[in-house]
Amino acid sequence: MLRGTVINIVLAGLLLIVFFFGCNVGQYRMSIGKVFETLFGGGDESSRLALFEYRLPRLCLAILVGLGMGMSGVVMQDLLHNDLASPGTLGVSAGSGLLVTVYVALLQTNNSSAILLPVLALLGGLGSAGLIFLLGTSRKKRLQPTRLIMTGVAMSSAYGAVGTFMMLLLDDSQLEFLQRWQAGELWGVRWDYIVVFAIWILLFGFMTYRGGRTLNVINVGYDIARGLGVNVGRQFIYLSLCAVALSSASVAFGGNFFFLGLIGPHIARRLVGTDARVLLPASGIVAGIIVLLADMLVQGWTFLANIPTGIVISVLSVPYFLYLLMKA
Amino acid sequence: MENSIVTRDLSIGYDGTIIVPSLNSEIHRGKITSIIGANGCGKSTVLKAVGRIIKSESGCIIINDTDIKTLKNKEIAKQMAILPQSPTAPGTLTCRELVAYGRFPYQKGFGKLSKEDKEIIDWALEVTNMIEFRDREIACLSGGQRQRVWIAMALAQQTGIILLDEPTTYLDLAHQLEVLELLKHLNEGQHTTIVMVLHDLNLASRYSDYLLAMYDGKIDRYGEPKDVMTKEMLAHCFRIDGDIVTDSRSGKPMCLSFDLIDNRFDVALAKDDRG
Repeated sequence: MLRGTVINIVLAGLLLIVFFFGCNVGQYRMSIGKVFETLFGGGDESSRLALFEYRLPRLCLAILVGLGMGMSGVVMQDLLHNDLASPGTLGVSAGSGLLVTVYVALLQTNNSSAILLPVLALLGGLGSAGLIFLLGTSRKKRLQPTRLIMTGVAMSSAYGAVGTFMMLLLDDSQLEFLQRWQAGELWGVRWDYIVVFAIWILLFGFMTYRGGRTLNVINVGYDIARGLGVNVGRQFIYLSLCAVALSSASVAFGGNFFFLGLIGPHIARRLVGTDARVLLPASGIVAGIIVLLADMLVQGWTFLANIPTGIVISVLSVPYFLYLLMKA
Repeated sequence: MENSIVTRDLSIGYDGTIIVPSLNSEIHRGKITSIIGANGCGKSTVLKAVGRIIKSESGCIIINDTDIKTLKNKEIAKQMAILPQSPTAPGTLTCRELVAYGRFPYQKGFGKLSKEDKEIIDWALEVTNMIEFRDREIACLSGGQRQRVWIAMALAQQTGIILLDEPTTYLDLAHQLEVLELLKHLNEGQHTTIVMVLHDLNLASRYSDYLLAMYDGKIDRYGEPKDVMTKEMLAHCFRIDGDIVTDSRSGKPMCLSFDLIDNRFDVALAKDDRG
């Protein structure tokens, strides 16, 4: 616990450092000194514009997406006793995404309200989580994690099919938005979005963290948890709701970052172990650092200029993930 | 308060089928009771229902003179611990972390361990002889050590009653004895009421004060080993023709030589011979 807390503080420090370097990267070059000067009220007009209008919101968004997906992945893995569970693999992200794209693409709006988006994503995520429950459990039988996961995987491809079908109905600009969203692009770069997003992550992050102790014993086994006095059914639903809320907001503002909910918990687990009370923040921070780094590559390297961040993350994560699987 | 656990007209089922129709039983306080019976007779089901891992369909379970329906989950967990059959934990968990989970029912908020919690955890590791492995990961333990660390977790729960579902599965003879000696030691030292499901009849007879033999979801007989461990019981509950002798070490009855009654394979072979 103590060791985990120390590692978390180090990770948070690392996140801050990457964050400051991130301020430095972009088409308009700025020295670290100038970044600091501008951050604390100084600086000239152009550096203020670059920093406050473009870079800071983008960096904040990147961190928030990481926090949401990273924590959500931990909860799903612990609840289902499977390291391959994540908002992406279970189709929860796809469900969120479907509703958001239906709304954005079909209603042709680019100035939707900041509240509506996460709510739509949440509804989509809850809808798909509910469907997984409905189809993956039965009243007479006990909870079977594998069955839930397989149901999620199946549903996920169904959403993919619906999404592809919808693409046929769209015009070019809508199509481009949809394609970029699916590849994972940080598109919600607006301060009003970010404020809502931050409050959302803070609220549900805290609610999840409160259940950390329960998550620990559920992760050991449903029967063990029952023996220790946990109402497993009720806590399962409470924690699932938290996880869906966290991932949905990330999907709503960030886009589809499939690998983040898988790779964040994985790396964090190796660093801090299984205690959810240190694993939750660690996974969120690690995922945040990954999004920041990937986005810096996209912003700073003209070669990658127009590539969605999610693709960069996948390209970087897949080899690492395969390496982990081979070692396991 | 002579009985720790009483069940009244307890009916239990899985997936909609009733396995145990109506169970009336009384488990003596401060004693070791083993539930024995053939595969599928419902012995594990009863243990799980009493440990409320599965819901019972009807009837009531009374522990320490209180119907558990009137108790909160955590209150029950302070009075009764249950160890399911071959539990699994995330391999990277250390022994101490796992044993600390036994304090769950007593904790509040974010679950920082109090000084008392820590003392109890160390005590539990000490009695189970696991203190030297406290920082070792569960994945790096042998089968016997793993079973002891689970028992330590149940001990950290500080309950008067411990239920165990086949605590000796997958262990060799010496480690089976070690686990049972540990339970006997706890029973004698702490007056813990121990109820377990055991497959090995001779070990059950040797280590239990009472045996509860089940057949087809019902109690076939219940009492001291000398009254339960009989030729008739073996024949009725297990379809076994066995010879009961007295164990020279423990003075308890044991089944020495045994055979299947109506060996179907013999009959099949005989038919083959004729053909």
